[in-house]
Amino acid sequence: MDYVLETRGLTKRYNHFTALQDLSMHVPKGAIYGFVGRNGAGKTTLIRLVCGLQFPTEGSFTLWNTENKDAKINLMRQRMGAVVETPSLFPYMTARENLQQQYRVLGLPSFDGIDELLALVGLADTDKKKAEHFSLGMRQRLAIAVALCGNPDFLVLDEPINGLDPQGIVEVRELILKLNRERNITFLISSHILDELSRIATHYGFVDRGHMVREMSAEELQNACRKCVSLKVTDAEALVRELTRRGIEYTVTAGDTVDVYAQPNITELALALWKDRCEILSCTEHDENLEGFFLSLVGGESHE
Amino acid sequence: MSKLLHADNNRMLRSRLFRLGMISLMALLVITFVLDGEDEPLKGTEAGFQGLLLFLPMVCSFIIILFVGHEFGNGAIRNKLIVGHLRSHVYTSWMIVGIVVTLIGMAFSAALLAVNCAVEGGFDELTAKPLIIVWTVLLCELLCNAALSLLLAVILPGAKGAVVSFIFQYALLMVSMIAMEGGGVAWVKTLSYFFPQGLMGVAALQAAPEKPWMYILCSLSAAVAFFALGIYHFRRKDLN
Repeated sequence: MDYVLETRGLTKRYNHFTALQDLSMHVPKGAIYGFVGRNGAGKTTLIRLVCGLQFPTEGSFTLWNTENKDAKINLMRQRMGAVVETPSLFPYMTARENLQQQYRVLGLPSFDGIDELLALVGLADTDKKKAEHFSLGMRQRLAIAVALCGNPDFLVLDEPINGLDPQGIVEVRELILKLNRERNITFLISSHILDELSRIATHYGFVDRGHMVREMSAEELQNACRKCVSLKVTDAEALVRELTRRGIEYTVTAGDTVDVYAQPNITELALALWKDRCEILSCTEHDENLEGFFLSLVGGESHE
Repeated sequence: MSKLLHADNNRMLRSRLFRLGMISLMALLVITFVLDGEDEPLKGTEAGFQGLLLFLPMVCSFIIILFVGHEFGNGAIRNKLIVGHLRSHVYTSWMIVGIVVTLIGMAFSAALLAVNCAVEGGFDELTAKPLIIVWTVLLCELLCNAALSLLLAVILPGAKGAVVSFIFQYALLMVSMIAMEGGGVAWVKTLSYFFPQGLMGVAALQAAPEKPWMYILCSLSAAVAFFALGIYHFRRKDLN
């Protein structure tokens, strides 16, 4: 699989505090990668390292297979854009002037495309309004427009919906999906709002206290959170045969455990299995929402 | 790096900070002429030149520190690094912008002094050689001032750096005035080899300092040292 970003054992220490510890992650090309963790988990630290704002203490990362210590990494960075923490804008400039300034930084020969960018992020009618008078949502969208100036293939967004109203959240979400679909831009989005991420992410990385706890695809996450009955038996093959015969959907999760995505009649099932000399050792019901799943990964109670 | 230079120069020359700085400098010089009150040819212009030694480095320092501090404060520095610009290029671009500001300040000041000189009728008294030497020494010392201001801007971005610069520039002024009065220990006088304030009482429009090559060598060496130190620090600095 092609990865836009890979990290290997990335560690970042500040004096006596370790923000990232041996973190390894893989962002596939074309994915919307949701980087999930609590406040202070290390999400922004990782983004700063990837963007070249800070330097790793140990470990390495690659952007399009180019190592961070390679001089060519700066060439690779020309293919990416990012919004790190707060929007990086000149408050005394208008939206257009901010984009023009970024065009100059990128060395683009003309200001063609600025109108399209402003229309894309819904700021086409801001005219002479200075960025300092924008709402948070407008500043966030302008920051995304600035990040898009160089037609990047990889966009890193650090908590892009923080502080936005519901309409703002919808607008940013729709924008991300549109860019991913139409321009095939790969996204790395950090957030602690799992519900919002679940609407757009194709891959997830769960981080806690600087460690990568788990990486999984959206499909795997969905399966992990599906309502099911988990049966531990003495003969999984016998159970599988019986479930197949009944047309019930299932997944074998371990050698002797099967998750059944239905509400089978346990008594009937047990009697059928008994004929095959198979015993049910335990029967557990799972009904996890995303937050509950996340908390079960990183520890802590669900408040449901 | 040309992209950065183009972007930074464009932002500087269109900024209110630059315009206000130059207007303030002109206003301060005009006040110096007015306060002088002397009628003799070149007297007012000489007074203006002494005022220039005080005000020009201060104004240039503030402009450089606040220009760079602004990028740190609003996070715009991130927009340069994220897209792959080298830190050494970013720093060098700032240095060149600082030099441009210094040269423009010098040009405006020279123009104002020339106008005042013409009004006073002092052109006949001017001779080229000391004039060229003095302005060359001043230019080198202003470059040293610019390099130190940029180093300060990167270590203490924004208002903190401006405050420290003000205290430093004011201290230089005090030291120079003590030296002018004939007081102060010898090492204090060596400051005149590096900073324009030190030239007060040592140089005038028609009086080049002794051993001008020493001033040029010291100030340019210091400028290079501050520049190198600044790049070294900036390349290792963790940014937020």
